[in-house]
Amino acid sequence: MIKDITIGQYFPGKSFIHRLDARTKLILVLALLVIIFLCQNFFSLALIFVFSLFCVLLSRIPLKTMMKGLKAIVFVVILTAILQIFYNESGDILWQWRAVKITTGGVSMAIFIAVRIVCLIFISSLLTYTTSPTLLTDGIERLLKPLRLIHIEPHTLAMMMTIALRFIPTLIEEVDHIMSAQKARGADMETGNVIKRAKALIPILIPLFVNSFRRAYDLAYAMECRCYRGGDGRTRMRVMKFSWRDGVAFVISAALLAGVILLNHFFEAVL
Amino acid sequence: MKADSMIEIQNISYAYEGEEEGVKLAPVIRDFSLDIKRGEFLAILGHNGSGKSTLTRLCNAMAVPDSGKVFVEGMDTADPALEYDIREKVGVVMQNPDNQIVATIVEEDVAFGPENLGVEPAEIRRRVDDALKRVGMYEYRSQEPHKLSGGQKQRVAIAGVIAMRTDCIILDEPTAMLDPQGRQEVMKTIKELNRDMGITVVLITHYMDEAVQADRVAVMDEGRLVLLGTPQEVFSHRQELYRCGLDIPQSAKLTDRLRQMGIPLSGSILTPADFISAFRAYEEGRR
Amino acid sequence: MSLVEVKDLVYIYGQNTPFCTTALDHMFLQIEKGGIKAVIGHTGSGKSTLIQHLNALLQPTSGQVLFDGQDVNASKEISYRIRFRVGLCFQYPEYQLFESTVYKDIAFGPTNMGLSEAEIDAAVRKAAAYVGISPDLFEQSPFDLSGGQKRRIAIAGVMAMEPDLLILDEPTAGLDPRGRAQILQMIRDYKDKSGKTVLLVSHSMDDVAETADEVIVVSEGKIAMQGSVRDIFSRSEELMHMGLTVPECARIMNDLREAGYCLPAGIFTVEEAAAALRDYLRGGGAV
Repeated sequence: MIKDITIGQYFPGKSFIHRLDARTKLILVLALLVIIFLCQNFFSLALIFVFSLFCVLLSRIPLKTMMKGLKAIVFVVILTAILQIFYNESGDILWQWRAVKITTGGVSMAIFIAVRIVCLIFISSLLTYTTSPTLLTDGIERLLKPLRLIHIEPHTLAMMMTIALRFIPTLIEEVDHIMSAQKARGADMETGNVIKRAKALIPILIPLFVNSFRRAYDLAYAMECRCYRGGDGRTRMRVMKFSWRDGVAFVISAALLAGVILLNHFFEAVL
Repeated sequence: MKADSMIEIQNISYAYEGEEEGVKLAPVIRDFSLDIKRGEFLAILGHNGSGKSTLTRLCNAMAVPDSGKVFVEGMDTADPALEYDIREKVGVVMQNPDNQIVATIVEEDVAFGPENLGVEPAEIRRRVDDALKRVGMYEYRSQEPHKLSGGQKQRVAIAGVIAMRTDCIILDEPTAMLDPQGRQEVMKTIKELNRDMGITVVLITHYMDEAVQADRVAVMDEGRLVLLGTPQEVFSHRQELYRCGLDIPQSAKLTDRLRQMGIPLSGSILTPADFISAFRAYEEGRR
Repeated sequence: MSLVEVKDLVYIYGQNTPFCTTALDHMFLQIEKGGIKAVIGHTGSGKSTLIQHLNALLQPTSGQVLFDGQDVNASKEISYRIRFRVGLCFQYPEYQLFESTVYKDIAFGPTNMGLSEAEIDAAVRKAAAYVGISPDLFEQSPFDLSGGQKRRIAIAGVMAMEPDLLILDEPTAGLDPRGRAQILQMIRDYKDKSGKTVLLVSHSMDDVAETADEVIVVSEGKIAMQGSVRDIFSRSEELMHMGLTVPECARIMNDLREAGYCLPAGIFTVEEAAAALRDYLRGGGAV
């Protein structure tokens, strides 16, 4: 069902992570993604994994919800793990059948990569789970300010993101509505070959586009009526301020980076 | 400029541009004059395509008349330098509640206008809270707009306008897509704004029972102003209203029918309450 | 045998999620063949969910829907074919037009039914005649026509399937008085000429008063009342409790009755009300 799609889902809360400045979260998530890739052995990876779990606990987002987020990419994790098992031929042979063999190197590599992907997902979904879409776009807008030097207007980008986020639920509802209406006239979207199914989309896509243009026109008019004239001279109701929490978060992240580098240095690399 | 005038429309005509450049289509507003008074509640009636929506665009400088002038608090809408000052004074609420909400959170949307005007953050906060309380949507301030009912969305849109501290609000068929409950909510809100905050309200509608609640009613047809006056005056011109594709309230129809039958109820009757008191008076008078 | 029989129908939205809501709560309903039946109920009462069960667009959580004695969910094939016998026209149907010409859009349903060219042509012409769309418009793009025309074309698209039961969801929503009167006249003509059963879902009690023979009141996922228009509109007190209203004339008559005037119950049109009041005054005059 299309209604199950959740884009940029946000779970309101008041945890330490929720209260971090959106800019801090954006920067730190990027940094953490890099740190995750810097891990070279199980010791540094374990550190990152424990840290990710710690962040999840701190955010008070139920572990169950996090697991649901994983569901979508479980297939990717398994596939990469399987590929690793069969293609990595280092270490002792555990099992062999003709040219196909499983080695200790392959198994540890598979585990290593699977854990790494889980960490990536945890960290990046925490960003959207704990930050409201508005704050997120605000944060992006402010972080991208330097782009103005090369004549790209970050405000316009942020505005487009906001409008997209605002209209996704409306359009999903509209698709549902149009689909029901065409089905009521006998449109058949469930049977037939690819070409027939593609054709069956026309009665849905055309009204959807026509209506979206109408909406866009209305919205542009409404925005102008409310004195919208781009980002210049515009103020914001929400003031973004760094607090002690952000300082703490930066320090912890720096410590984490140091930890990973040290562990990489003292233990042998798996990669 | 008259001192008590909010929007002065002087002999304007307007035609949209056709597909070929420089070629104008048939005019949608013809020789139209209307003086919207400060603090009044004016209803504009007219069938679809009578030029009502175009009139809105001409009143907030989204369009400039081909001939004639529109003054908003003395500001000429044809002066490009005043465009935003005019839109700050005259807010607009449109028919489709979904297509005018910009932000993903109710209070963020209400803040959109003041943010565009460059108001200080603390002041925006105050205005947003105040506006949401005025329309009775304060508890919904952190909701996502698509989870609200039609009537609630329209009230958020109204809050977005009053947070700009407009003096006048034009509502272009704000209840056309709502259910009866939503219509009631919106009408109640509109009347409160007019009464408690002194905001000039221009309500474009084709619901007769809404027009009856206004101080004055203007009737448009083919881009012209055909009737103007109190609801009592306007609704006494039955034939003219029917000719314009409009209707009259049922209470008035019933009164007409009884008068035809030789039962002369007295007074001007537009609502059930009017009818009942007139009927009682007539009945008691006969005893 | 009834045309439609709803037996112990339950429908729960979003089952097994925190947002689950019961839209239909053990509903029982029988609809007989012929005439215009109105379905009324406030937003969220379950009436939209109900009509989508009648043509098997939604599958019941539990319970049954029988059409002409046949379970509409007996098999996939039956659920698909039932859509041609129960024609459902949604709210604002003009927003679902998609074909390049008016003719092709009206022909979409009949084509899906697998009719021959000649049968399709006959069905399209007949449906266009019902809604008053002249064959001159057949080759035009539906997107170039006026709002009222678009709506009529969209309704014709459903009528063209020649369903035994035609369901119209808020067919007059957003129209001006003239457009509304045209659509209502069109529905009455369709019933007379085709002899088919029509189910009219509406918020407007005036629409119901002007067209329907029978009224079905939905409230909290159940059928709260079912009966003749006269019966239902004389129970204004109960309707108000369900967030509904009655036509203005019915309100006047009910209020007068409550105030102690001895007037007949169940009056809802201007003509009847005028006659009853005249009779009352004559009778009362004699006392």
